[in-house]
Amino acid sequence: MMEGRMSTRILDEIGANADDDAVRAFLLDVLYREAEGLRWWKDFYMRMIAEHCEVGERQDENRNDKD
Amino acid sequence: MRIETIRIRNYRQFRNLRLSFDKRGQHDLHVIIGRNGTGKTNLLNAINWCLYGDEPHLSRSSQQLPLLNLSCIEHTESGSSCVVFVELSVTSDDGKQLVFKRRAEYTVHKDRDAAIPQLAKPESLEVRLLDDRGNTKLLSDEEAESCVERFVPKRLRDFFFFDGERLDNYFREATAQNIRYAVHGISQIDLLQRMENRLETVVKDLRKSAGKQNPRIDVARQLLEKTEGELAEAEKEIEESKTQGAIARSRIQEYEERLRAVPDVASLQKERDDLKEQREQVERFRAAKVKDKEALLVHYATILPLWDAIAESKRIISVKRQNREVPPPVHRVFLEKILKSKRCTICGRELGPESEERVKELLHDIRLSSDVAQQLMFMEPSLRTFEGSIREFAQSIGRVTKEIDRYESDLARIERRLGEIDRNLESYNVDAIREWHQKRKTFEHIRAQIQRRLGSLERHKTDLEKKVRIFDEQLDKELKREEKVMRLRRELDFCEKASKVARRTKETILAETRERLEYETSSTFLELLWKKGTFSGVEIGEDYDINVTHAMGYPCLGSLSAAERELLALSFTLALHGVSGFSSPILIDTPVARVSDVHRVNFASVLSEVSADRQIVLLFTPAEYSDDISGSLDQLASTRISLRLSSDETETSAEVL
Repeated sequence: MMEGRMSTRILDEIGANADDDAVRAFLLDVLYREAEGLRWWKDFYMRMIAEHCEVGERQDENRNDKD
Repeated sequence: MRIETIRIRNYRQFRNLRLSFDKRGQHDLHVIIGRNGTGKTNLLNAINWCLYGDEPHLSRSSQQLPLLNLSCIEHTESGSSCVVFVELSVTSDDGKQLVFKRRAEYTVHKDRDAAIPQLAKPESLEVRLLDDRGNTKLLSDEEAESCVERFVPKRLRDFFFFDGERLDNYFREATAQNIRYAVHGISQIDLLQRMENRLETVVKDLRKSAGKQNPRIDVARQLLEKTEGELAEAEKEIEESKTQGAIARSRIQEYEERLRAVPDVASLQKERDDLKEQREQVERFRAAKVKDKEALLVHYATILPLWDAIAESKRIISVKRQNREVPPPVHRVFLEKILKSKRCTICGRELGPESEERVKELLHDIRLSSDVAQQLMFMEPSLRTFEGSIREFAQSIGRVTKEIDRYESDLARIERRLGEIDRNLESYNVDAIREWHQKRKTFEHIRAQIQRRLGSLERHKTDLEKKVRIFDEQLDKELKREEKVMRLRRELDFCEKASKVARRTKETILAETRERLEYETSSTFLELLWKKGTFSGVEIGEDYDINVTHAMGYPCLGSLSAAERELLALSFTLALHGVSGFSSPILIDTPVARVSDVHRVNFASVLSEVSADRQIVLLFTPAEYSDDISGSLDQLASTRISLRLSSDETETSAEVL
């Protein structure tokens, strides 16, 4: 509802600052949920960290395999 | 985002009120006109109560009255209950409908002397969300509050719902903190900050979990967290010192501005003292000259009365000489001596026959004159001497009189200037000015102390940062050694990376927002002013302290007129809107109360321009809605509403004009 220009700006800037895809995806997921209002934040964060960390690891492994 | 309707039931003057703000034409501009006491400001309070549960613009008279409408209390039987609610229907930019509604229930207790409403059910806020398909979602408690925060964040509300009467005080009272909140809020830095803080908590939890697996990890963790704690303390102290420094700076500025507006008392006092000294000196000179004059008069006192006698004597001699009754002015003895020696006693030459004959004739003539004539002849040189003296007196007395006149004119000039200075000093409170000087000095001293403290804190912070890096590396080594915590270590690394990105993003956006806000505020403010050359711009410093720079280069926020401050607040608000992309409506109560002349029309024309892009609701008194204002707004306004108070002053009704 209140996503103004700055929200887009934040998303763009996160995209520019994060060179790790998994970190970028994690931050965007969390940011959207924070903007909506997050009540049980700790569980959500732990789950997101675990999920994205795993994705990141898999991506690293795939990259290593290709190399 | 726009307000479609406001419905109010039993809230203060409003027994049952519904205001619609339909947009007609290009301008989303709405004018509400009402005399004092009809509830214009309470309309502003009603919106605040609905959204945030408080009434920040409550007048002293309203503070003494219950929130429940008086007419409702009167018409409710004792023991019965009454519901108060304010409902705000809003349309979001993407066409979704939101209804914010706060309600409270009161029970009215009556006895012979009084009717007292008591809160029966606590106030509650609910938000109804209507999607495109007509489905309704009901939000309450924290979810509803979070929705309000996304409509207009509470700490930014002063930039959206103004009270014109108080607006001119906003930047006078504003601390850097207000601006910081505004910048953080509009740039949604809060989200990033919250994310960063939560990631920090998660990192601590992960470290603790790892510490449970291995005591060496736990020792390294404790050491790191202890130092991190000290670092956080130092950072907090630095922030506090910066805030204190900003306060001291703004106070110094305030006193400097006050002192700039009054004469330099010290230099006026000095001039006064110098003038007094000069007056004494001139008075001394004048007294000396008066004495000289008196001495002259005394000196010539015996001769002066003879002036007429001398003139008469000289006249008689002159007449007698013309009648040849007076011998030529030559002494007989002198002539006899010349004839006897046959030589001129003056040039020493011998007398020739012709000259001798002439001297004899002269002697003959003198012998012929009477004794009186002789006397007169001898008197003449003395008379001439006296006459000379008297003429000399006239010159001397004229000169002295002139000097006395000059000293008297100097004294009059000094007296005039002393009078001016006294009046000038009397019109200002000299004691207060002295106190301002003193306070400025005190705050300068405080600021210097804070600067020194900041220097040592910054050094301490750098040391702690180094320590944190070392302990972090130690912890990392310990974590790497322990196979069991491999997973935790990866998650920790991940969190730290994410936290770093969030921090970098936050810093970039913050700097960018501040700069854009400064630029937009400055250009709008300079555009709005009719005195184009007075100010050179608006600055929002690194510490978020806002200031207006005079064309001469000095900061002059405190010396802005009420109208200028209102224009500044409006410029800042418009800049906030522009930079944030927030399209929330602007509601201004008594917008031009403190604005006069050219600024009024300027203000009205700017607001009409702004209403082309966003909803503006203006609440005027009839006196405020003068011809020059109505001339420009009547044509543009989508709605014009008049508020009227009932004859018993308990209920306000609205009439669409």
